[in-house]
Amino acid sequence: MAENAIKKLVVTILVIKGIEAISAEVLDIFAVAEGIYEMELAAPTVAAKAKPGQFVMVRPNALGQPFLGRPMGIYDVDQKRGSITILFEVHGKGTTLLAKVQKGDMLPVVAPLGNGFDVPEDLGRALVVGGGIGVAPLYPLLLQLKEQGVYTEVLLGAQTADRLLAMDRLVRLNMPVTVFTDDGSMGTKGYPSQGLAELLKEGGFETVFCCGPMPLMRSVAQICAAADVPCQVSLEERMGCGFGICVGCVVDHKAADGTISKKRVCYDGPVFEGKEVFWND
Amino acid sequence: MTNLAVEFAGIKAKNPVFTASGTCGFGQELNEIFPIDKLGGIMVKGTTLQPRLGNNTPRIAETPSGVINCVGLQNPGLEKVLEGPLPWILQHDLAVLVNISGGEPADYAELARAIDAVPGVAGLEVNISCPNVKAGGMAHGAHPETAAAVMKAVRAVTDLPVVVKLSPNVTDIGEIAKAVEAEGADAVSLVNTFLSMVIDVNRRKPLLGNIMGGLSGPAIRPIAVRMVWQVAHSVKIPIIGMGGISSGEDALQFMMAGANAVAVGAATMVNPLAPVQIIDEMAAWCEKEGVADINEIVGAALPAGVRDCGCI
Repeated sequence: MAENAIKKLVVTILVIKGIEAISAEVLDIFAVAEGIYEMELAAPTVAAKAKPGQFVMVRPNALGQPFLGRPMGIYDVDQKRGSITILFEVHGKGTTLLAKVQKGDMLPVVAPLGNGFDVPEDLGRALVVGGGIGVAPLYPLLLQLKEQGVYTEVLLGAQTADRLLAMDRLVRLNMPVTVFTDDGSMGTKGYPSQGLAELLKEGGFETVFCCGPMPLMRSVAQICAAADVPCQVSLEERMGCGFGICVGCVVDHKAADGTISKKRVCYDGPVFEGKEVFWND
Repeated sequence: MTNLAVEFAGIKAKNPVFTASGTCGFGQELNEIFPIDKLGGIMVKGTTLQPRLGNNTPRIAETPSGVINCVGLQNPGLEKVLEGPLPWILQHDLAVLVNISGGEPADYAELARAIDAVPGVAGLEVNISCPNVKAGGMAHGAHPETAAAVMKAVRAVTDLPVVVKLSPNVTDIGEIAKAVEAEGADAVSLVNTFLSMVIDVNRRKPLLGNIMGGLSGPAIRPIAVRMVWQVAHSVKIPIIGMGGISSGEDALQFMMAGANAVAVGAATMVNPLAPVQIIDEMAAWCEKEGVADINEIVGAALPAGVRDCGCI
């Protein structure tokens, strides 16, 4: 009976996704590079249930300006502090305002959102490829891979050495990290997709996980498809709601059975199998 | 406790707050956030005879106090809707209005006939006002004659309550309301979104994938209130008011302008709990003001005699 009760509880937890609309206090905000900020938000209930690869919709204020939330990958979770951390780059009106919020400000947050990465239980070797701000949702994934005892290598790209993110966290994971910069100011000059085909041939990686700029994700997905290695990409799209109701953030998708449809990045994703995405942009 | 239940045009709802078509799917996503039967009702995603993939991205552009969308009625088509999402939402305790859209009046009739056969549907919302589809949509809602033709075709095949969703992109919305009333519409809902666009100055091109889209959100609210007021003067049939409702006070404005019920749209995109909070705020206002029945405030701001038609 007890076993059945536990089973039932597990099923219930899986069924109730538990998306919450909350007002979250800013516990900390600071620049990690020019125009790139790390922000910690008090959200104990979100921290308790967020899965690697999920995201939040956050607004810089509750005044209705800007009108819509901004999707941000969950970069870190601190159960003890009951907090989640996001990483964002200033590139528009919303993120400009977000960079100006102060410790103690209360921000409207809807979270946790999206499907997150799917890590098979029996996964032995994984390759994780990140570019720029795309490293944010990958860090919780790396923690999970480490916990599951999956041998993991990381390829990390940035425009320049100063814009290489998350290194402070990655060093603690004790995983092989290969760094790429566009200008060669650190590591190999070029993109993390360089040499990927050879690496996949030799490395015996069973799955690749990728998040970064669209051109990087496209080439990683194509190289993986050619090498017949499963590849999970975490997509980005202009979003309205973040939880599936407005059908604004769609991507052209071809399912394994050949069905072509437009999938919502926020609700059906943001993580998709690379070869099921039409990379036509 | 104020009575919040409303009954109009043959539609019964436990409170006057609906979620507007296109901002709530078939209720499944919202039900993961709050129990959907807290709502008075739902206008489900616009359903067409054939599946529609919808428009290319970008489909969303943020604007001051609002949002423009050009989704383009992406939906799985009538057959799939009848198999899955519709039976699912009908298990819940709320008024379900099925929003239908088509190219020709005959398409609307075919949709109406199919949905008429489904037990438990509270009514039809006939969309003659979608700004994002090439054939049909807003073209029907732009002229009294074409709007009447759609309504006539639907009326011929169903006794379900029929609510016609009106476009604000017309010179005289009252004329369109009169035309559908004459063909037997049970109610009208207004407003759909305002045709609008944004230019991406860096690319020197329209931002949206479909060039133009429909503007909704608080930016349009005062115009929508004005149109509900005008339609309340033009016709006798009940009105469901919508357009930028974000608070209980906003909703009360629409009801006092003559709406028997309201629908929340863009606000739900920003805050999924908005429809529930709006119900609570309306109830709190009624308590504070000593209003025993929310139906008392319908048309409260209208001049005496305008809606003395037994419909309020």
